[in-house]
Amino acid sequence: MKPFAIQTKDLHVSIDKMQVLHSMDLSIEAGRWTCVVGPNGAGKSTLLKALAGLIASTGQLHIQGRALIEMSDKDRAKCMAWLGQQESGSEDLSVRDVLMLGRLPHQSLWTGASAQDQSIVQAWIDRLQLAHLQDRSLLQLSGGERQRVLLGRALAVQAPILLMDEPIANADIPHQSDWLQTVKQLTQQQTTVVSVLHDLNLAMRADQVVLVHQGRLVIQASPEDPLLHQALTDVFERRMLIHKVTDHWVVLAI
Amino acid sequence: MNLSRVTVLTWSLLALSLMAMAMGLMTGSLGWEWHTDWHDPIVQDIRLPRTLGAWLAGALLGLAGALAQGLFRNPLADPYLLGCASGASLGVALALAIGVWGYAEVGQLSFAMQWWFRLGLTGMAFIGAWVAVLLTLMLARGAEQTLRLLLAGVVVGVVLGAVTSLLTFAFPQTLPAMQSFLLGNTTMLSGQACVMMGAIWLVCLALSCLLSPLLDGLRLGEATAQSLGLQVKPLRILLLAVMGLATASAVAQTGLIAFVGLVAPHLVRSRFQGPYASLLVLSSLMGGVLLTTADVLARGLWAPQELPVGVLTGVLGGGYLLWRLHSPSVKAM
Repeated sequence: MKPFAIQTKDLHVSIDKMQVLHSMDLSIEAGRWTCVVGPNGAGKSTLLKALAGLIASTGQLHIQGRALIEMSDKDRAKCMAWLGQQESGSEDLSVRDVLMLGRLPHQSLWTGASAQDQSIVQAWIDRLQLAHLQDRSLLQLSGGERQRVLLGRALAVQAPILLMDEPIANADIPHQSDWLQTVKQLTQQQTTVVSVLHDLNLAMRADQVVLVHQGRLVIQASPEDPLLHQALTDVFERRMLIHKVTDHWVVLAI
Repeated sequence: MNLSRVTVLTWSLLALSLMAMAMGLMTGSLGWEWHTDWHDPIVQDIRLPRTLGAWLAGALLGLAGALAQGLFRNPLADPYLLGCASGASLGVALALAIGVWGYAEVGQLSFAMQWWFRLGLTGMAFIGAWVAVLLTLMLARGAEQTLRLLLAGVVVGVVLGAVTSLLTFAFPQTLPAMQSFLLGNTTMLSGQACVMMGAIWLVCLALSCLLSPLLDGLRLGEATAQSLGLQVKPLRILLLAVMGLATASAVAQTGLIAFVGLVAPHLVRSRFQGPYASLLVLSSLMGGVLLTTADVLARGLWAPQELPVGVLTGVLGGGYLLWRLHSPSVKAM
């Protein structure tokens, strides 16, 4: 069995004195893709933020075997990259500058971007096919292009764990396919990927699915697991069907 | 690629600064003087500190404006957002009122009064500006929520403004001095003021450049900045303090000069887009150029009559923003 990248025990999160996550026990395997799903307002984004250490939580939370609270901000940032939901890139930064922001955890206050930072950013620009956009500002890009750039920003951190909240909302089919390819490649290189996805069809392509409902963990299982299918149908009010079509699970609303 | 652009812009702004300052030295109460005697005490003791001081005040405001726009992630943010302006006005109104009242009451300067005048209008303006900033931060319960901070700034501005109005209403003799402060005024700048502003400018510029990664990170949202290992809360408070210090020192010396802090970063961003470290330096230089130029114009346009420099910056700044509003690239704001 693979070691765990993220492990939680009895994890609780409260926002404004309201408890939104209750007693979560999660074990996320290293080098695999885990997908968090659930109805609107189930606490998916909150869970991801808590795992990333962006909001306070109580209970145990271990990242690569180390307690998160014992890690410095820099160490945490080098260890986990986080891509937020509709991360606003409202400003006039160029694509290259946006990707360079991903190198911030590796720079100190006194040193700017090193040659290594430059070459890493260049490598991601090439790999995500952003070369023709690199000097444009975010404002001049289409929605799909912007999402690719922001993904590039998170990837440029080159952290062993990548957390993504709705990274392909509104992306068209070719972009979804590109994204799946990227995630596959990342896990092959032993990067742990955790994503929140609205689209259950895409979520069923993950190695592991975490189902969250009303702030509680319902089940963590492989997409093949009939128990997961049962739990999904229950949580979504029995208003969906799950079928296998040419090796892939497909979820339909009825 | 951007680096060379930064270098070009920096050198051009420095050259423009020098030109504006040279013109400042050559502008006297009778208008332009083509044959200026550089050893003339008027040039050395009055025009030099005034011109240099105008540049420094502009540079402080330009820097504070760029910081404000980065911290609040809002292109319309300006250095007076945290209540600095109203606080400084209240400080000045208070100093003037106490002076008028004390003179009427006692007829002569008591020991306390002498102490009071030594602290002076500049000191009172500086203290007032800081009290207002602290009040704003307290009302907003820290700097965590930008919107609350903005609202608290508005509340502090309105309330302190009302108190200032009450004071000037009760002591109408203070009105002319008050008005000169409110309009912005570069006539009273001394060499000492220049040294102080220069030192504060250097400190503020160095600190804000050092902490500028926070502003870059904030461009993608607070959570992202945090995820990149930036300590958002303490760094934001520090940068707010730098912004307050820069604004308060400029305002204390020159009064409420309008629009320089808002327009300087805009002008820079219309020519250059990139990391904040460069934006801050360029905005600061741009602020210096703008205020020195406005000061030269204020003295020269209507000579021997001198215009309040704040009126000029207001007209020029407002005109510029109006032009930006109607230019096709308005989205880039």
